[in-house]
Amino acid sequence: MPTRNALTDIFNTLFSRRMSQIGGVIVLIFIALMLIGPYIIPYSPYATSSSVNSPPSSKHIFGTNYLGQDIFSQLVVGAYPSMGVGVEAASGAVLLGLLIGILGGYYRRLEALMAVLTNAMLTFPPLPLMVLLGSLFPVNNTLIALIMMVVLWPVVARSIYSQVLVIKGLPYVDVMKLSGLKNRSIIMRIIVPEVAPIAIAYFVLTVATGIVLVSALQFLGVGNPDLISWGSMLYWAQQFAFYYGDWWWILAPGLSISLVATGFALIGFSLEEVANPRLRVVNVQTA
Amino acid sequence: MSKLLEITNLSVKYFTAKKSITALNSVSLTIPSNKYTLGLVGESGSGKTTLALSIMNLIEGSGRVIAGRVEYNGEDVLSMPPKRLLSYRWREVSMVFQSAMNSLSPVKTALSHIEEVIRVHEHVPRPIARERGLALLEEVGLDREQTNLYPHELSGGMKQRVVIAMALALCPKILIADEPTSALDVVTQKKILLILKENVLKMGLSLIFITHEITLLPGIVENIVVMYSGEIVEMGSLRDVFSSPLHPYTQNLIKSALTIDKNSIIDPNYRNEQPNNVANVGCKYARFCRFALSRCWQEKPCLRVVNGGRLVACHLY
Amino acid sequence: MSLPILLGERLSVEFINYKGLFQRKKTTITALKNVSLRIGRSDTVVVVGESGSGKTTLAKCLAGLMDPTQGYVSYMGKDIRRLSGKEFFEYRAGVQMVFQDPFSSLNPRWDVFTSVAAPIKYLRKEINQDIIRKKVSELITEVGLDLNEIQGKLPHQLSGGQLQRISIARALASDPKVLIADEPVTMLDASKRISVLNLLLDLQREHSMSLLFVTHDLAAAKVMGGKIVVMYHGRIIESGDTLQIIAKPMHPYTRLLVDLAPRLEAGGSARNGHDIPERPYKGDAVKSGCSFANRCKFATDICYKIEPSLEVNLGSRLVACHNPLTTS
Repeated sequence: MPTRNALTDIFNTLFSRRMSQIGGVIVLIFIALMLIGPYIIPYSPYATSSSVNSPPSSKHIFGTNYLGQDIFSQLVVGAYPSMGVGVEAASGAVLLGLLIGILGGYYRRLEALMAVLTNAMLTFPPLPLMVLLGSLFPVNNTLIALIMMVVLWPVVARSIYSQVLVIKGLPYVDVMKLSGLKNRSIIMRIIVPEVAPIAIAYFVLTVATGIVLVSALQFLGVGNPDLISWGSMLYWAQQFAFYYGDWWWILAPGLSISLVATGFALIGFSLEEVANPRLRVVNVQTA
Repeated sequence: MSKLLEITNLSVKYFTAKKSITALNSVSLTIPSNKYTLGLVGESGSGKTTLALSIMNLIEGSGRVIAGRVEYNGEDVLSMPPKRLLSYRWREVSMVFQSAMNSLSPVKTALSHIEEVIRVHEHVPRPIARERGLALLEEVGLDREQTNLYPHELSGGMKQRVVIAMALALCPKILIADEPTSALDVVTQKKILLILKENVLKMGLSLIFITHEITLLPGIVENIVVMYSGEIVEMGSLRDVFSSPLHPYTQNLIKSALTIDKNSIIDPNYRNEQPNNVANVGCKYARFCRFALSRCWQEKPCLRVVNGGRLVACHLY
Repeated sequence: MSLPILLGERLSVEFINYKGLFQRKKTTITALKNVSLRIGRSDTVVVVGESGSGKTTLAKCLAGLMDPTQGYVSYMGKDIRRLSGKEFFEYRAGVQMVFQDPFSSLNPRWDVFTSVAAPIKYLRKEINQDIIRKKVSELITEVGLDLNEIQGKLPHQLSGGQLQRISIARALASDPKVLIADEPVTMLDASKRISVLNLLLDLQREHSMSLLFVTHDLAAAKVMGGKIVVMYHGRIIESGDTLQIIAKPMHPYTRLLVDLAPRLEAGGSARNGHDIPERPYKGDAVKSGCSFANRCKFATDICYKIEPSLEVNLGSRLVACHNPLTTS
């Protein structure tokens, strides 16, 4: 049964589902870490020390790397470059996907163009494409975000496009036109609110993908490996940790990436569940 | 000698977070024997589909049977153990659901749907199930080549035939058809009705035909039950009820049926749409009834025998 | 003959489905072929056809909700594609439509008052809230609903019959000259249908409106009277006076529809449907000739070769058939 307020709907579901509760807790922990962490870290992440390659201890919670740098401090400082970029990329991708999906779905004439663009983009494997683009330009985090945006928008666009088609097929959209509403009004007042829940779900899921992809890029050395991020930590770890046996050096960033991505994914799945049944118009003819 | 199907004082309610809805209110109905064809007529909210689901013991989710019995050959259907239910459903009583044609598996051919039904219920080897399936589909009018098509390649009429074949696959004693021809066009509708009729005659089974279009019933069923708001208001042979409907609701249904042999239709109350059902103690139809007496508002009429063979629930009789 | 208010001239609609990565391959479905229709002042025109006949497509083209691939629609003598902004609003206000499914015809987030008020706000550009409110109240009462019952309600809180009346009220809000009703009673309970049909006829009379009534039910067509247009496979195959055509159909398909229309005699429909082949499923397989030929009892050689054109027969009747039925 459609409710008037989609937002309360979403919140109610999120709080009550086990899946999103777990995901939410994980994400909140990491966000707290990202925001408050830098103020409470015991060491400067770049500071070397004499206790190299030492396993987790009371002095260094997650141990140190081959230069004696505190892993925990690095983890905290690296949170933003890993998560933040993921969020930026996801925002851009979803906004772009929304725009293209809605326009392609609503305006008949643009449909063919949209289909070609989307299909073409989808055929490119994301990671090689990103590495390629990353090697062409001197890369900073913003550019990484942009590259990811380019790669991630098609999936969103396609899903939004099919939702828009469903909505457009409902009689009441025609009725709104007959009542004198202009296309722009219809898009803003009917299509966007109906599509919003699934767009939000996609946003969260794309953040999850984004975080993993960013880290993958940084791990491969795209960008500046000297700037600390989870991915770059793994870049260095991959070269030295095996030699020295510093398993904590790999575990900390690796686990963080997986955990955060999973957290966002869990929330995203819950949101998807909320979004989908709402978009189906139920014909209530009892027997 | 027990009746084939006997429903006694059946009441079913649906419970939602905020309120409960009475779908069936103390309904009693009997299918005495084989070859008994019954049309169950009612509009939305009359409870006809709920009644059908109860017979199959398929009330689940938010629905609950709160009183009454459903007996098949003397056996209590509502308390059958799962194993017995498996052999009861589809082999003794089977059903063609509303919009069943949309529930066909898109990855199975027409023939494999039937094969599967047969093999799930009876342990027969594949080739035999195949032969039986082909014969059944031919019975309902599908060509050999069409039996290998997938649902998306079949028209509405063909899909409905598959569904009917599935329901007949195990030679049930009772077939329940719930709006089997909605969403089909006139010619296809006619054909499906005839298929039902022929197979019912040929296999000697009893048919419960549920619909809200009373005009579909002549020629297909011999008896009729009229339901309103979860209760049976009239019951009798089709011929009798059509020629002299007793209950005011039945009269209204017949009078307002859009048929081509009527010349003009005048309804003095056309202007006003009746508001939603409001609970009252007496007869549920009282507020729309032309003949309502004060008694109708206070006391609920029971279904009683009138004129030998006819049952009506109305204070006028 | 007076100037038609709404005219569809040789309308054709084709749906093209593109497939493949770069959208090269295509399949074409013909929804309408060369259909012309004129609606004059206070006319009642009934369009009869089964699903797939193109009747809804025709209605949508006339309402300006769909662009024909060929042909054009004109309102008050002007091609609707050539209307200026202001004139287009006049057209929108003048031609309104009611749809088949009452449950999805209204914006589920708006209360029904707002839905009914929308044409007044956006087409008649009325900004005075009191005037709007008054007009909406009048309309709701006029379609037979109780104002107190409806006040502040959302669509999901009302029944099908009530919703359909609201849709009619909404359609009347802009004082239209033409009301197009696409299967308005098909999804309503049988006992509610007559009320709504009578309502439409009365409203038509009171507002001197033209009514285009689309249906698959010949019995409903008979109630509406006026002129009838019978469609099959995107083409008009017969047209003329409704009662005359139902009494003496000339096209074999019309005859079939009449024979299979619901009757209440205990014996059921007059004709056994067994001998008529069903529509071939793979839709557009008709290459040449009459599209009904492969199902027609009276088909002759020419029927498979040349498509019959709509010709005058018996005065004001038009039939597209090489072997029209003459009597009985």
